[in-house]
Amino acid sequence: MTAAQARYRVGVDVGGTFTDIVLHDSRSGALYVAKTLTTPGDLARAVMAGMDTVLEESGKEPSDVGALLHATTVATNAILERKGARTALLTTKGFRDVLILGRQKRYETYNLYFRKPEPLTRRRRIYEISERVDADGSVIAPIDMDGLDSVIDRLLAEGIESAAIVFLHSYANPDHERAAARRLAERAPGLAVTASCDVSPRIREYERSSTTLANAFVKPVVARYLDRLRETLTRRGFAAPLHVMQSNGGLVTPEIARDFPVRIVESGPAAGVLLARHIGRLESADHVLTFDMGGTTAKLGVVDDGEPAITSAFEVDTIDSRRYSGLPLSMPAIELLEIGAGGGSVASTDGHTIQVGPESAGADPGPICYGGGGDRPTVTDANLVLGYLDPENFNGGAMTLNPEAAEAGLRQSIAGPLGLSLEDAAWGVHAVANANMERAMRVMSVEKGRDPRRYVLVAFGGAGPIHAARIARALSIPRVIVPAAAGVGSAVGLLTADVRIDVTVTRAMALEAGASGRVAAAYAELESLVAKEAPRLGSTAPRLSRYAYLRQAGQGFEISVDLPDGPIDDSYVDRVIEAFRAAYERDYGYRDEASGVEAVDWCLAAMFSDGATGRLETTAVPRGEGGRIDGARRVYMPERAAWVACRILDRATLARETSARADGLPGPAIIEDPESTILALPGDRLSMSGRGDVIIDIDAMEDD
Amino acid sequence: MDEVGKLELIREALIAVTQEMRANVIHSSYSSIIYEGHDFSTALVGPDGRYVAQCDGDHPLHVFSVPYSTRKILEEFGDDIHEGDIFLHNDPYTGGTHLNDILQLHPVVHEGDIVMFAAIRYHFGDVGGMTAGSLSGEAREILQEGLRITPTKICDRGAMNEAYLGLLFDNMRQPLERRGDFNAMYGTGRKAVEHVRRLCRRFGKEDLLEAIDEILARSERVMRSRVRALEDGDHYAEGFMESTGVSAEPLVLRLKLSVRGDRLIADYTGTSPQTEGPTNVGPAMTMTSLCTIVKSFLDPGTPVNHGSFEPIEIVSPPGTFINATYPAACGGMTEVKSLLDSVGSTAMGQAVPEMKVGDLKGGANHTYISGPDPHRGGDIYLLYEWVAGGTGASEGHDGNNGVRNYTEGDFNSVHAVEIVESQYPIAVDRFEIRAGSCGDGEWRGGFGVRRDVRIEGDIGALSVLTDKCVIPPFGVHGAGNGAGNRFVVVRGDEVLEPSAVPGKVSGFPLRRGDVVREESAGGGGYGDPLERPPDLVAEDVRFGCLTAGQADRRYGVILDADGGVDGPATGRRRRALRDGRIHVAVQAANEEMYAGAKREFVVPSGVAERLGIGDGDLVELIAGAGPLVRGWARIGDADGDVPVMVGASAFDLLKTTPGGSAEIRRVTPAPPE
Repeated sequence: MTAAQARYRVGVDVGGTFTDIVLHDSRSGALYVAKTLTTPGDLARAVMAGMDTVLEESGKEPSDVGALLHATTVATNAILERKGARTALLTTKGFRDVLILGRQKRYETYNLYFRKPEPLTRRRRIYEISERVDADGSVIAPIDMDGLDSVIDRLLAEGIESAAIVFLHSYANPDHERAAARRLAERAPGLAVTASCDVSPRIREYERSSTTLANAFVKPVVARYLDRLRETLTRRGFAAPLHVMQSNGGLVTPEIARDFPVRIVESGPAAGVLLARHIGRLESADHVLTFDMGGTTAKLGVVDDGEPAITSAFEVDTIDSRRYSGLPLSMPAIELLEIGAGGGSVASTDGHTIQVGPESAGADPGPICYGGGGDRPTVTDANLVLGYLDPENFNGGAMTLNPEAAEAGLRQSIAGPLGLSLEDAAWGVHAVANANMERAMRVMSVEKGRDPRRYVLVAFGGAGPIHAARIARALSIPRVIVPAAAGVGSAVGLLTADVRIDVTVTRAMALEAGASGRVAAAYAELESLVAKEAPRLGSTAPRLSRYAYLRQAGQGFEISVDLPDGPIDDSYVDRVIEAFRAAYERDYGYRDEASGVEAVDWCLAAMFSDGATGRLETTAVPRGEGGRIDGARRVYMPERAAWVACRILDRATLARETSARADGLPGPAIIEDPESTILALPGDRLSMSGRGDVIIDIDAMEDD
Repeated sequence: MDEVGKLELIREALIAVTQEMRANVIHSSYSSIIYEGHDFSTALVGPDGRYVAQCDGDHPLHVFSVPYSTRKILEEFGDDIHEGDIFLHNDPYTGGTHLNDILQLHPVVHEGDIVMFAAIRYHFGDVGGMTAGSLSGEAREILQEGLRITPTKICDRGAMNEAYLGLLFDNMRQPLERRGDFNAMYGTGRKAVEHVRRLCRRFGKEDLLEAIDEILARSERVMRSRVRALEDGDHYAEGFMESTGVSAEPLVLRLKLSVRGDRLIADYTGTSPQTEGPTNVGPAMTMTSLCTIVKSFLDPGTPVNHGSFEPIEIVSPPGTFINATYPAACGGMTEVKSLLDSVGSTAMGQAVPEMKVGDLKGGANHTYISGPDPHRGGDIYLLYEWVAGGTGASEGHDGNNGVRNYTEGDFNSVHAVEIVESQYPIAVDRFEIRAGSCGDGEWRGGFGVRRDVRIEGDIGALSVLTDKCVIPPFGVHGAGNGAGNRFVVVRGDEVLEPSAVPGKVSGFPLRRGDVVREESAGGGGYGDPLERPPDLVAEDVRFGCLTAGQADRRYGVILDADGGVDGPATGRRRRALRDGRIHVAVQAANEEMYAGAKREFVVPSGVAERLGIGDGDLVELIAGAGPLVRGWARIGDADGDVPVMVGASAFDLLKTTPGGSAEIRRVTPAPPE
């Protein structure tokens, strides 16, 4: 029995603030949910606490669980907090500063105090090795093994724990990197070693160095974490295999995650996009924009034609999501945009305008209305003042909010300095947060050639469903879907994931007659890489899917193109060119038959599963006893320029009311879920899908 | 309009238009200078020519002058602006930058009124003229730099003037690429017009226009309140271009910046006349530079629009090299802009003393390496890079190593080594921090970059256009200067200077195996280097960025055998270095003492001897609260206890009075050993 076939499966998402656990019974569809505060000192502690909750509620034993699927921020946090291993970088002589000089780009004009991204190691831990390979892979100068030995002596003397090796053009010829890695393994067996040709054999030395170093930096940390988690789970009686989510949306075994921990950096957010893909499939939407807004940030993703958009590289530890402000990771990943706008984002004013975020009050002290000592107004405080949140029924009734304190805070920090009424101030905060997210959503959609009118917006996370309808309206997105268990979206998303690895190699070439030999060689190399990892994934027969980064000759941007299967001969190259032209036309609206096509990176995705993921059906089991909600309260609706009476209901009431109404329930209305609140605007229509998702059809656009 | 929420939505929506324009240009352009180099910008301009929005990454140099061009177009065409029109412009004398930067302006007409203009200013790889690329240090009049386009309607209510376009492209090199780029601008402008129209429908035209007025008014209020918080007063600054472009004689730029209530008045009277070479700019550039600096100093955090600039008034005399008139060549405008930035930041550093900042590399470091393309017979390859330098230090902050300046947008610098080696017959031998290049200080400037590029083809050619090769970036508060830019060719054991005037290289012939060594400037320092915490100096030595000898001679830090700081020895060394500084009395001469553009100091021979200088060497004086003053030495006869004689205006700069004491030191572009 494979992991995907097990009856009881558990998804575990360890986030920065909360650890979410779901236990799913694939036979009944029941989904048991637990949300606990993350325990930074020992992450396994919160995991086990959540486990106990779902086991207890479901009445199951650890031994009943057939699969453990895991997303974690452990790698990300090690990078963000610079708490990784003591790491050295070995590189080609003459290029010691590639990592430090970086792209030399500026992500912020007008800032005299601008700081470049801080690399994960310092200059004195970067060592030059005499060796040289050229762009064709020919050896220009042999590797100086004596020099290498003396560097190894210094690494040992300085107590280095992990080493990254990045030589120029190793994507074309990895021999020198491999030789150095072997020597390190012989002479310093306790040292973790990462060679760039294994992690990211792609052209561009800065990006490859950054990626390789990040892998080396987090390797010992992730290994310790996974060992500890495995041990804790075993002691508690879990026997099921553990799988870890990667940034590309695929699961791998802990062994592979230990070797390539840089692949799991966007683990949790990637799982969230998988949930959106799954919801899209169930609700017949091939094109989905995803909107996951939590306490600290909002994360946006995209599903095109039923599959998450994959980017060939991304940045970690960015400042305000600005390009070039973070550390590049040259690594396929689900395309995500994260901005500092969450429920806990702090609002402030300079006396003229309102700013929201990126600073967050987080869970501690939290928004003012939590009563946990927070004294600066947040988006959540504004939402409470505007009537969007119920002070008596927050987080499934587990918390009571203090509206008077929120009002006082908004008056003092925003309304007073700007001379505004309370509701104008609260609305200002809400609207500024929306504006930030709207801008980010445009980056994900319009700027990348995606027409929002063809997409649905799947909203989740604690704060997402309050803001989704307005963002949809601003972007002319016709429909919003809020799935069941929206508050633990990433954990549910894990249940829908395949075991998957992506491998990539740079082989730059013009796609012309005679290229097929080189294309075939590239894919033979990629297939052997997959074959090497396959046994560790418990399967030898993956489903393979080819794609490549191609561009019009003379242009500077490659686009990702899905390639056909089949034997690689001369006609295959023509099919690749045709696939490129079709993809290019889709993205940019025209075909240029005259221009040549160039390839840069060739990629192979290997999926190890039995297609069980499409089967996931869920029925969230309500937490606690809470009675049915059906009432009304006054909420602020600038769309009506006033406070209006608004229906308040829960999913069960909505289902009952709309079962007989084809045109749905008219907005404004608020649906209260245990972990989130859904807001529909005047003119919107609300309904329930057959599987329990809330559907909001957005009012006819003002904007087309 | 009081409603903050709606204002914010509109402001963000307008910025989103420019972001979308930016993405469209990058994805649809044909020239690598655009899609890799990002040498373009986009903006929205109001119906009255006020500047409404840009996005992160847009270059102030391109966009702050767009209102000037737009107003010229409005003057010229008045009522004759309609839906579907498109205007072109690149004339430096009426708001352009250099001829390569062509502006396409698309009016947005909604319900019969002009509500906005969508603007794209875009560097064309070639606009005709005497050399490939159109920019040449040899240009002596604008007609040699390509086609000059004064305000022109190229598209009349949707009907493109194909005859005019044909004439344009027939007179540019690589006309197909040029047309592709023109179409990329056209498509981008068209989409932007549609986008703004959608905003008109979404928010209502009247509300949108009212919101724009309010957004600009708020930015203006912020800026006026920031200016008002400054003390009233006059602040002087002076800087030099190294050459006229024709000879090694410098040009002088002089600024008096007056703070008056909530107004800033910048008077550039006294600046050198326009020059025969290409280092001239039109009237919009002073405004562009000063606005960039003022924005950076007083209100860096908020989105940019015209409101911030309303409090600024500029006096720049026509006929100077910063307000040149026909037929002055203007190809070297980035070099002039850099000098304007240096001088502007010096003056603003006086007005906001806690924000004084060390100087920047100066110029763009345009480096062109070309030769026969081995892949395309008969064609040439052209590697075009702009090496970034170190940035200036400020209180509490060392400068950054090798990064674009704060006055530049999202420009590229050098390409990835692996890309260069894959695509050109070129090998890169080194790419590293230029050790020792920082401007010393309590906080030191950032280090420049060293890049060694080897020619693997039989022949090639090198052209360079930059500045601050002779007159290096200055420090502030007594700090040292950064090393100057330096571009040489290494042939075997020989180091060749590729031009008579450093930094102005035009087609130097290269041979197989030649190494072009590009060394970019370090940033100027902040504060006395003898006050720098010794541990930080030791760290720079441990990191290999300074030698132990440099730590000793430049910072007075003595290291022990393990690389740790020898405290007592350092204390003694620092006292000795401090005592060894040369202080002189400074007295006002009867005349201003400029020889051409060169400020001169008469230095007594005894002092000259101690400094190790002769006639014509560059020195600087440091005293008082003002910036340092640089001048060229004229060695006096007297060797006794006589003062250094300077022009009276030097005291305005130094903020001291005649007869006072100043430190005098020699200025050299090479990093001190």
